[in-house]
Amino acid sequence: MKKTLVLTIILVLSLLIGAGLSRTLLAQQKDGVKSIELPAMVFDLADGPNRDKAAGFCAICHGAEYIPMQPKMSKAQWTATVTKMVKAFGAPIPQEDADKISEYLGGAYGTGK
Amino acid sequence: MGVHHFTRREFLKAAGTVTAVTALGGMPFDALAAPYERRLVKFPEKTNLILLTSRPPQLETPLSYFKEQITPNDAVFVRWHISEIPTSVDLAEWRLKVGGNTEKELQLSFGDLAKFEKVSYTAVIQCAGNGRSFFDPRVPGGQWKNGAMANVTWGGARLKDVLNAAGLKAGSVDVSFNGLDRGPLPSVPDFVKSLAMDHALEEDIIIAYEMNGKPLTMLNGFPARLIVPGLYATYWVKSLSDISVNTKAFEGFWMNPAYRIPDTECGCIPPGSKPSRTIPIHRMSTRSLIITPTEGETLKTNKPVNITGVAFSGGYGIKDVIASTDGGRSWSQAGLGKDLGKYSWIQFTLPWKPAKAGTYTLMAKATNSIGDSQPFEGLWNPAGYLWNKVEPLTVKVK
Repeated sequence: MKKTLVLTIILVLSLLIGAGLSRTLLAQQKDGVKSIELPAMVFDLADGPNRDKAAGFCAICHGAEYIPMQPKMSKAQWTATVTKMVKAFGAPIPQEDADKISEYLGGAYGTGK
Repeated sequence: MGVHHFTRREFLKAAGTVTAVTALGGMPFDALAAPYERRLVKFPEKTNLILLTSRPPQLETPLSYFKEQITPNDAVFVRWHISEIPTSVDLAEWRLKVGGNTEKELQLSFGDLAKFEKVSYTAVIQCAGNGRSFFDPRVPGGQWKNGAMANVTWGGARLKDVLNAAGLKAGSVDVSFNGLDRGPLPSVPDFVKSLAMDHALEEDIIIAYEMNGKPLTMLNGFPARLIVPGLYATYWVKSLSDISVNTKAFEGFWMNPAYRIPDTECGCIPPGSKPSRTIPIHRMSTRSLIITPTEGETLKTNKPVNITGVAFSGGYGIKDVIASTDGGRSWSQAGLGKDLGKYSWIQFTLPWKPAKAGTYTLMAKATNSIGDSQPFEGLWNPAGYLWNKVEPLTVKVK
């Protein structure tokens, strides 16, 4: 009795796994379709006032890594960068928030100048 | 609009995912390392590459892959500009639209494209910002080291043949190219590039649907991308969807103000200054790079070693490469490897047997067939383009 149950479970599991595998294979084999799944990656920004504002607005268009990747910049350079995001790249950041984000970046990722 | 941020717990969860993905590749990876550092990540159809950014993806090739003359598809660097990149393409649906100032509008299927005469050659693909992280003073942008380049054999249809099939009408001045990538918002400028009409009709520009004999990887522009050999890869529009023949010069954001260099002989200006006039970036500068031995490697006294590397230029081939083992005081002619044509890189080798223990500075300097070579000091421009300095590499001999 116990043996039958174990065998049944194994059979059901193999069928399920088999069905899953063949579905995957079919999806990959459909002629002329190429699909990829991008890995989800999340990066912590450095602590500081208005960190959440920066993280939120910047994430509309790009991953947070764009920020720590940059060389350390002065407050003026970070302000110019945020202005570029708004004016050139069309980021919908109200001026008041843009100012706070520049302040944050100049502090957390700045040269101190 | 919702402003959100990730909690520590969500971060750990996401970091765990990344670690798991990378663990499959068996390469070192520390998702929790802070602050930001260059690390290896695994993306679809790619081997472990160095992460610059994840969204949109910018992935750099570790230099060890440049020991080979041809870069394997899974090691070719990745660089997208705007975040909504194609992740699924059904070739039954995909069409390449060719129109604008043409006799007729074409809607080419993948099969239609393959019916044009197939052209194949090897060409270096290099990001305009390759080497940007070495600029002094530093400049913002993708902080590439030297791995935003690859040498690939491309196969596809001539752009010229495709344009002629559509029939160019009088008054055509340039051609613009758009791909499947989009900005996350309509306000974000779409990535569109253009070539002047006479350039677009050059024999060697192709719409490639093969890299190294295989379909393009999704992240390198499946199903077809423009190949403009000799020019920086900014013109090599990925996942092509629209080709438009224009009666007025196309002036989109990615032609102006983006991807421009100072209008000076060297494309450079005094460090930290502003250019008075700019032009679109164009041909690649001549450059070379030592691949072996590697920076900081320890070699043995009296044991022969080959100094090897790659050299290429903006479509003019390489005439010679000289190399130095004493920081540039004396130079020797390096031997050149197989010539795969003027757009390919060529491998160079200089046999060396260090007789004395000590620290040595190795250098290589390439000259192309029209006499252009490499500077000993890094050129500077505000966007961090055209990096081609003779790079010193230090090794120890014990």
